Amino acid sequence: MQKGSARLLVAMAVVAVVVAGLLMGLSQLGGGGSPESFTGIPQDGTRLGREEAPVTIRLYEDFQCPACGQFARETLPEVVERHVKSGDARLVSETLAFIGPDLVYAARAAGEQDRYWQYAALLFENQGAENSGYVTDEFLTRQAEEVEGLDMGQWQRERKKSYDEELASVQQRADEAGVNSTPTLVVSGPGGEATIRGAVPIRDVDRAVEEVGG
Amino acid sequence: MMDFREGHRGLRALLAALAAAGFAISAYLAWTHVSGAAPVCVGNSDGCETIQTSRYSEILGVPVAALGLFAYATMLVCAVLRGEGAAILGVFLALIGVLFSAYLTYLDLFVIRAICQWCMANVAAVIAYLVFGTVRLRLAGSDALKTADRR
Repeated sequence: MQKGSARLLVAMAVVAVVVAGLLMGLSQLGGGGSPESFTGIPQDGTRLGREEAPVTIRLYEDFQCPACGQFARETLPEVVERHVKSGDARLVSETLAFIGPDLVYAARAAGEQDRYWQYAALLFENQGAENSGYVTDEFLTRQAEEVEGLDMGQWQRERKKSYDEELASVQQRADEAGVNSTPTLVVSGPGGEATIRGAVPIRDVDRAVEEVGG
Repeated sequence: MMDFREGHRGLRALLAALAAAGFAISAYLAWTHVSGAAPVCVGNSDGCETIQTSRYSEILGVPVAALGLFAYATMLVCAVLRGEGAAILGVFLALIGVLFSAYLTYLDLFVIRAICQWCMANVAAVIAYLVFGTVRLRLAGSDALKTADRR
């Protein structure tokens, strides 16, 4: 092969790698757990979706757990899109603080302004390595500043409150449901109850919702 | 016996067949995506449907299968046409296809955790196209060199 052709082939390979990389990057933009995904869905504290929805999905999670982060980024947006937006199910975040309560307090403080889910999505999107010390006041504040419409003064005040009582109630519900790892989804409805463990794909949630939906 | 010379007709026919197969599979998957129908999966598995309805099945609102459709159509034209230019363009598209398919296969196996036989068949088609397309390109390159020597 001539020198010119060889150069052309190398250039072609480089451009192909760049184009493929671009496609991969764009593919990651699709859907996603961005805070905008919750626009227009009723929220109350840690609940997302219509209060009278026939199916309840209790999501036992921990903000620093990597599998919870994976579930929040990969599957949760689909759960919201398919089951919560349609009004078939409501999601309740049951955050366990295995590692540290600061994140839970900050998220619950955002929940006081019905912006829990937007804040939680940002916490998972920007999740650092477990127990690496990434959860600083600055980190928590930076995420809060990203939440549209959040009154920062009120949030700062409320995150200093104690949510220990709420955390104890969550722990009690987790114990009763036999939750010993995160993420765990307890899906309940007129047709019964189903428990799903791990960062499962959407089809597992679809099945459980269908099963208990009656 | 396949004819690898004389415009590499046999090789081009093979490339055209691979591109046509990829085009047909992509057309089917694009149709199921747009119509909302569940793709027929061997062994009644629901892997194809899981992948087709996942958040990765679209890029900026465009179904990934539709991108494949466009790429295979162009690769088919490249296979039909003679010359080094067509061979280069075919390999270029196949290389992008192989790299992007590797990424999609990673998502299937480790993120979505489902397997779709149609997607796997498409991966096989694009890898084969890249291999045989590269052979064609090499032959086209040596032909060009011989022509230059004769002058």
